[in-house]
Amino acid sequence: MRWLITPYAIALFVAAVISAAAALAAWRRRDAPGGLPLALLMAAVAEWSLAVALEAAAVGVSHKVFWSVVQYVGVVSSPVFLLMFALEFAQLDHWLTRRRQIALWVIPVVTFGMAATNGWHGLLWPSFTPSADPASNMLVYGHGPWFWIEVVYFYLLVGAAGAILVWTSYRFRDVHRQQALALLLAVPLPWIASAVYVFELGPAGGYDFTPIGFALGGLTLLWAISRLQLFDLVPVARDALVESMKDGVLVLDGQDRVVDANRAASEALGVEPLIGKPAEAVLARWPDLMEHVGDVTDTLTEIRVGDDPPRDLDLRISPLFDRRGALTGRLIVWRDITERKQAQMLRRARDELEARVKERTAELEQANEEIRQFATIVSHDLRAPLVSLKGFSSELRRALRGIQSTVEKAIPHLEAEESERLRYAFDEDVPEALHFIESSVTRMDAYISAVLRLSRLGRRHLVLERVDTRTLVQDVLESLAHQIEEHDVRIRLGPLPDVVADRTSMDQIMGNLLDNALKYLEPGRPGEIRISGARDDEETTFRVGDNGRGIAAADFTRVFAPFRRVGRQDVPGEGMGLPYVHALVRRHGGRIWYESEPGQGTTFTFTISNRIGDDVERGEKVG
Amino acid sequence: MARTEEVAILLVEDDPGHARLIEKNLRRSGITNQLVTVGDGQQALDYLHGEGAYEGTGAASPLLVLLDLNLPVLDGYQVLKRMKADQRTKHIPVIILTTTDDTREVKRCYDLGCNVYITKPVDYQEFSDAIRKIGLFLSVVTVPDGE
Repeated sequence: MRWLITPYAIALFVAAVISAAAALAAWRRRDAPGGLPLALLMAAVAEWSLAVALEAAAVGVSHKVFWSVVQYVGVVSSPVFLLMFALEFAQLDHWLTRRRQIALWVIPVVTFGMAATNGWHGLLWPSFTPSADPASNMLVYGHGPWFWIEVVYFYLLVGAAGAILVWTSYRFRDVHRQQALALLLAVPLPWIASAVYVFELGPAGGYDFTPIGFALGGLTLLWAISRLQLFDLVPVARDALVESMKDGVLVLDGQDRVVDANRAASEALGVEPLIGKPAEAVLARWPDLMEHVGDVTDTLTEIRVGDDPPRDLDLRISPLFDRRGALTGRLIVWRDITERKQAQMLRRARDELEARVKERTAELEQANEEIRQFATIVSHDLRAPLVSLKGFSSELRRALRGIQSTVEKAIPHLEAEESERLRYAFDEDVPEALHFIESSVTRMDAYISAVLRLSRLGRRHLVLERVDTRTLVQDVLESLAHQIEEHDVRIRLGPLPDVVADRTSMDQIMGNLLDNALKYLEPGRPGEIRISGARDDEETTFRVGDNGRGIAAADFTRVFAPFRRVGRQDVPGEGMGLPYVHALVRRHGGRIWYESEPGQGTTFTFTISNRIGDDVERGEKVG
Repeated sequence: MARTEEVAILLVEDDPGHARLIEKNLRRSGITNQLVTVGDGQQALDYLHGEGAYEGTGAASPLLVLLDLNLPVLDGYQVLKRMKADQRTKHIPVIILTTTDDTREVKRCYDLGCNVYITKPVDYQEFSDAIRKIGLFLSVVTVPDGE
């Protein structure tokens, strides 16, 4: 095989090398949108150019025709790859189904077949004529019917690709001005080069510059995708993104007219369509925003717009400048931060509240501790004088006894009136006075003891455990068996769920309530006491009901008050039982109340928080 | 038991009524020892150390201290603590006599080294019984020499 290197062959060879390099570069960017089809396109163009170069350099018709057939690999596949690139770049590749891909390849494959078998039918190239200028070593190909089919198909694909790229370039226009330009530039290059050959507009003699056109176009595209890759964002995706953004986006031109806006913007402003309207009309609802529109520098501010309800917007206004620095418009972006602000406010309020609660709790605890100490000290100090009172009244008694016999002896020697007075004082007045002093002291001491007990109760550490309420109630009843028998009381036990509580407290609560129920039965009527309980999600509720004398409505507020005994005072007691029970129930996170019908009976109900049990399981200290 | 006679008793009691009742009951139970009554904790320590108002008198020794807890100036706990921290007084038996029966306070006194804790009951019979027990205590306890 002989070769003749012509300038045309060299030019195409250079085009082949450049295309191959571009194919490699595109391959490295194959993850970018359109990167892979572009790599394939450039590879095809490289093959095409190389084959054209070899064809141009080959000597002899049969050699040249061989290389022409070879170049058809690139010729037929280039427009297909170009279209694939355009589709992928415009994010329309979903259109490219498998079936359509196959369809796209039908004509190219047939064309290649035609080229390979041209010797038999001549449908592609009916004739080969050596160039009029033998030095050019060019062969002029005649064009058969299939050639024109191929040309039409070629233009269809290149045309479609071009249309897609022009459309894409239009979408790019604001964001990626240079890329848009590159796309516009790339499109006509293969067209022009091809047309020059096909319609014989260029130098005569079979010169085909189409691969060079493709190579240049491909390079331009490569540049475009390389730049774009920085953003990793294709225009359509950007549009979709902006459109679906929750943030409002408004683009104004130099005359403050809306040139672009997204859905969020139209929804927020309640104007549809926005495009083409003047800014002051569109933003009439938000005069505060309008104030900032005129700013020439980037404005970042928070405004509150007087919608109903008012909303907080995080607003950004950026002036847009062209290359020469002239103001061409403004970009307004806002984000509705009402909810975020409300959440912030709520959080702040909650934190404040928590801090205050904590503070109050600490204060309360301190106050409680002070009260306890106060109760301890007071009862201690109150008791000291009682010791003396009791002691010295006993001393008085003793002294009286000491002089009793002496007085007895003296009485007969006194006058009747005097002796009478003396006897009266000794037998009546003094013992009576001493009796009252002593009984008062005893009562006072009992009260003080009760206060002390109550104050200690607040301090006692509760030992929480699972308490078998039924057994506990039965034990309490056991200890009261004597009274139960004495008053002929019938006990009815309902369901009694277990409860997590301090066993001693439960014992005392039940003991006090049952003791009261027994104590205050209506005399002369067979007693009946009902005990039951129920557990729900929050708390366990217990009831102790009797058919006793009941509590008058007027005594309502005094039932749980210390030292207040209500009703007939015919039963001994300090009046501390219920206050004590009240305190115990409260320490178990519960409540206590009663319902009563005078003469019919009373039902006391108390609750124990289920959460106090959870605390135990979590290992928290209670008490 | 003959030594019992020589034991002076220091009664630290701010309530004169109580002091008098204690003394009466002690005497009635046959205790004839010298009884010194002071009204506050500082005086008690001064007496024990022979300082302040008791400068130069020298403590009658050996001693037994009947100590109330609620005292002005220095309270019973402080007196107890200082007595037990001082070589001269740490061996002197101390009987706490007070109106409170709070178990925590009782425990605190024992922790501080008191020998006996007696609650002053309001019931006078119990009170005098308690004091008589002190008399009994005095008759069996070995009071160490002060020297």
